[in-house]
Amino acid sequence: MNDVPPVLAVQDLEVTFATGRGPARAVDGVSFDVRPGETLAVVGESGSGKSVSALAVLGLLPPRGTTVRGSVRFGDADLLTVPQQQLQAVRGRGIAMVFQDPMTALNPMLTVGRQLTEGMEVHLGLRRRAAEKRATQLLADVGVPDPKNRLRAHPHELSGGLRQRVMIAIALACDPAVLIADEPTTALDVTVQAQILDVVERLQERLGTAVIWISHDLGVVAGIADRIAVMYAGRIVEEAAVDGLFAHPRHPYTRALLAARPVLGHRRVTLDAIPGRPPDPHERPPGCAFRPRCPVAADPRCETQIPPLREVGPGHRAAVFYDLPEAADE
Amino acid sequence: MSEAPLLELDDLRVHYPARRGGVLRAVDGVSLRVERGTTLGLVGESGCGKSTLGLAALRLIDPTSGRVRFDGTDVTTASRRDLRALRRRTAVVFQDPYASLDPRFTIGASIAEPLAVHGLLRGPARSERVAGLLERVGLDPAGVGRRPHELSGGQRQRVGIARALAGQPDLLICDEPVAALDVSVQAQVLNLFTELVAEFRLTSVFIAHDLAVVEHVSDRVAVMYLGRIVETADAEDISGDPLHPYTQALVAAVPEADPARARARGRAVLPGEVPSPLAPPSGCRFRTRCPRVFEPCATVDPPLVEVAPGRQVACHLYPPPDGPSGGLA
Repeated sequence: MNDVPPVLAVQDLEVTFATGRGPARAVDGVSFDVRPGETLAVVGESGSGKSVSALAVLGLLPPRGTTVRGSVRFGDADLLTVPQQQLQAVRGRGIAMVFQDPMTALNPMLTVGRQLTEGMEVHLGLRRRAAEKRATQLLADVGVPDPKNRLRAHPHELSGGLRQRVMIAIALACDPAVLIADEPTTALDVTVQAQILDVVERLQERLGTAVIWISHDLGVVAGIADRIAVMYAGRIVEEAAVDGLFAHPRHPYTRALLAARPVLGHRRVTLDAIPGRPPDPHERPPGCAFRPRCPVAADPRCETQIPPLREVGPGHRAAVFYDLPEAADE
Repeated sequence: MSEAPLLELDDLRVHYPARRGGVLRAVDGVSLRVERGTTLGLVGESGCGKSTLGLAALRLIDPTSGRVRFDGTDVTTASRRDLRALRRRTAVVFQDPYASLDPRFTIGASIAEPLAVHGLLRGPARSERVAGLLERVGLDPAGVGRRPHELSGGQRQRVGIARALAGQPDLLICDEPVAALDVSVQAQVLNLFTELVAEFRLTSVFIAHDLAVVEHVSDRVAVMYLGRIVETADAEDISGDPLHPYTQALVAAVPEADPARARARGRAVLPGEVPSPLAPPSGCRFRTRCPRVFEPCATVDPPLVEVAPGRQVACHLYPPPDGPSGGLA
């Protein structure tokens, strides 16, 4: 897979918001890429910068008070510098996005059919009839029962699971090369979540779409990701192929995240909670942002320098000064 | 455990009138018992009626029919006065403490409110209790004057818990208390919950959609689907040996945090959608999505019967051990 050039490559992304309390660096030098047919999961807690990174890629952050630096290479273009019109053409057609809450992302006034066909008419130049036919097929593909009649439904008439499927159908309407999914199953029940994961995986196999799956839950992405990037306080702290990351997490934060979740069928009296909480972007500690909560912090530099992301194994990078001893198996 | 259970629900129903003379059966014939000093986990997907059931158990919603007994007293027929006394012995923790804490109140005032309502403690004694509670839930008592918007989600949930404990309740009902929290903070709150339950010998009902969370905190688990309980078991048996096809599907849908095992297991996908509680299917309510549906399912509504000690299932695959379907144990 590594011979194929990435379809999307983000380099040194920085996003700073002007706030009443001064500038807040939400994303602080993030680089990642994704190849056709590959699924990259970006995992982090609230405030880690994972969603802001995605919005920055598509130029969807409010322009006022926002500074974005770095580059977002898609094809021959840098999306951070292309004219608005060209960016508009990329959105939906080249890169599509699915949001966590379909109720706010869908237009309540328009029918499902209209929202599906709009992009096809604009980007693919389809006529109304052809677009409607394709829309029906797309709804069927994502597992919406009775797709023809659903075209005339409004979003409020659908259940949460159906709305999320409609969002995915809209995102896939123009065969995008990249699908960015921002916590698309977080608000859904597990049985519906399993259905959605299944739908995306099957479509990806068929169309070779590159998927960036943003989630707060390492458990959810274990079954779908090829690679995982773990974010904390605006930076990627670890990145690896999915098996390597779960088998040998090299960053104390990744390890702590894995240990903090209750695991079905493995009851423990207490969970290994991570003390404290992620830092406010205005109050990031000097040195490693995770240090105040870190059970290891085994190097004096943790206090003063930000550990750079370095190669700790083949295709495995971690932002640590030291090699974490392998965890004793439970 | 020979004592009577602290909370007993008997054929409880909560129905709402709907448009065109329809009836929404949010809770439709639930019988449950919560033994003293234990935590019952109530798990199910959105819309299954689990939150309504929790509120009806405290008569914060009036049940349509059926009975709720709290420590031997019939809650459903209790007078206002009795109800007031009873409310002092019960408390609720909600999912979103931001919605349940008054934004104008300081957190100290919010925690003290149940004490004021029930006329418990006064003056310095009350302030002392509030400070003690803050400290116990891991917050700095010096922050007693702060308001909810100044706190993080995890801190607000700690305030919600402190407030629930203020009146020294016997029964705590927690409705999705950690669903809105980040993983690392969720573990802190779950640990706090299990500590407090042991320390104060609380009896609790823990309502959540996350089976792993429910298993972690509960002694017993009840699985709910479309207004009904479909299975009850000791917590470890729910994932270890689920009997009802719906419980099996729920267990199978929990993401496996081990990539190799997740791939090997594949994804068990339950087809279709939860039917509307306005028009539940005839016979067994799960039959429209059940992979093991057979001929009696469409016509006969399977009762919840004890199939082994401590194990109840509402499914035609599991006939009761002795003879025709008996009553509830």
